[in-house]
Amino acid sequence: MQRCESATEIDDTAAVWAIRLEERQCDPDLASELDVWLAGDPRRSGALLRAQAALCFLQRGRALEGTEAFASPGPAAINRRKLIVGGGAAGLAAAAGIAGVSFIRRVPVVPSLHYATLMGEVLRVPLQDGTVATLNTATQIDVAFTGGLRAVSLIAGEALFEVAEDALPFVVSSGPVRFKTLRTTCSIRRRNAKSSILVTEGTVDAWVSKAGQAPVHLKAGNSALISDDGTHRVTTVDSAEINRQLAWRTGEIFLTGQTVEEAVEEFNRYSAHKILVANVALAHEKVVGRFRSDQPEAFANAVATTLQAGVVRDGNVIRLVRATLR
Amino acid sequence: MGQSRPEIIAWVSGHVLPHEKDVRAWLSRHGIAADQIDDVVQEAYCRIAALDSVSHIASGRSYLFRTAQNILLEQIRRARVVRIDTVAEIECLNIVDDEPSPERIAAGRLELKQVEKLILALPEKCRKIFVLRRIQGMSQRSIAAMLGVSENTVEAQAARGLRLILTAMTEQTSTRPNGIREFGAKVRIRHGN
Repeated sequence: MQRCESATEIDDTAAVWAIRLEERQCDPDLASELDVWLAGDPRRSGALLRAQAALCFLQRGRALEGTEAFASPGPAAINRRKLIVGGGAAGLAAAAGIAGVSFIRRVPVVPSLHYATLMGEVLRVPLQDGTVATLNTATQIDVAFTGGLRAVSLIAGEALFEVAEDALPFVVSSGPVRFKTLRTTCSIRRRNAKSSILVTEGTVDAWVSKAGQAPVHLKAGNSALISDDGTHRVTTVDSAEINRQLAWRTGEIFLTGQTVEEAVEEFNRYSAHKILVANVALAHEKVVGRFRSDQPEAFANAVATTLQAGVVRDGNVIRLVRATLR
Repeated sequence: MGQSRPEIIAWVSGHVLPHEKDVRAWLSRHGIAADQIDDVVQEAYCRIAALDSVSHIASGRSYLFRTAQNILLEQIRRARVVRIDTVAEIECLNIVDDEPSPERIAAGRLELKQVEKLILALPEKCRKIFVLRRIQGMSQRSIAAMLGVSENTVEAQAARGLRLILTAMTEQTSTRPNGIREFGAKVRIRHGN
């Protein structure tokens, strides 16, 4: 075979193709053009796969929006809210345009009071005070900024609140539990008559309405589990654990020694395909790894391979089984 | 059962690409020339691209290492004039197995930070477009309108940025990467608990 192109030159062209394919998914001419290019040299298919994989990796860049490095409206960044409100149709088009690329769906700033996600969805909601609420799978919140209070109720699910600093208190209600702050980043989850919170920035006071107890003072690095009856437990977690618990923002699940049972419970939050562990010993095995939350099958297969189990699929159920060992 | 192309791309993105740097460093330590490394790596991706499904692959890292090793062996055998010890040496290259090590887990956590660093290191024009497109989520068309350039320019800059980032992600660094040990008798393959 004649080698007219170096690997580097192929990589250059492959990058152009990866971008084109992403931008012009619906262009029918593109597919035939691509076929011609790919047929020109067998090495090109590898280079294209690699470039597309890099682009896929860069999708996590969406999670950087509003972070310190990209927050200032300098030459390289523009204000997101201005873009959507001021940009009018263009802003909406931009928001719609990314829907196919990123799994984070966005909504324009409107004085709507209720936001919800379906199973497996992640939704970023910019609120009118500059706070950004990011809703995890199967989550519902109500927002009411009236009467000198920024009030949000978490009806179900889990949400990350990046609360903008303001003189008005920001209060999240989760059942009878109240979380009050002036500025914080925290994620709150409501489940089984309990509320859990992870504070990564600022401070939060937590209490149970009408329980007559003194508020619990939480600061960055604190994680707390508060029951509706007022019992609570506060722990301190390190940054690694914080990242693990917030991996859902980028559609991932990190496992760092959780049991199969715990991992399965996590996966089952995100997909209609439910994993069932049919063996007690298997359920208690510990697992480590990184997975996409929308790929329970990949997790089940990994468990099967590493822990000598079998995977049985039955409609929407993925059953993890293990022959009884003698 | 076949997998969709996006599934395979996502798998390569999460399980192969992050290890390319290590494979390159490993090949380089064994005296393989830089342009030959490029060829071996490209061929390895070709073989993955030819797969209908990657669900049978337990570890992308091991797979990439083994594939690179096989390609290298084939190339050396085809080259006719071969030092006999080269083949033997490559055959017994000790590939560190791929139980997800604590270091890898830690590296995974750093990924967002890494994306940020990669983007910030781009040349200015490229970076501007990258930030608008990849971080702010603007469409190519809106970016072109805002900057007063053609969509083709935006596309070309995006491709350039992608290319630069790919290189930065996968090029060898002078420090020895985590999780890779020199081959030889002293090596103990890491296994999970």
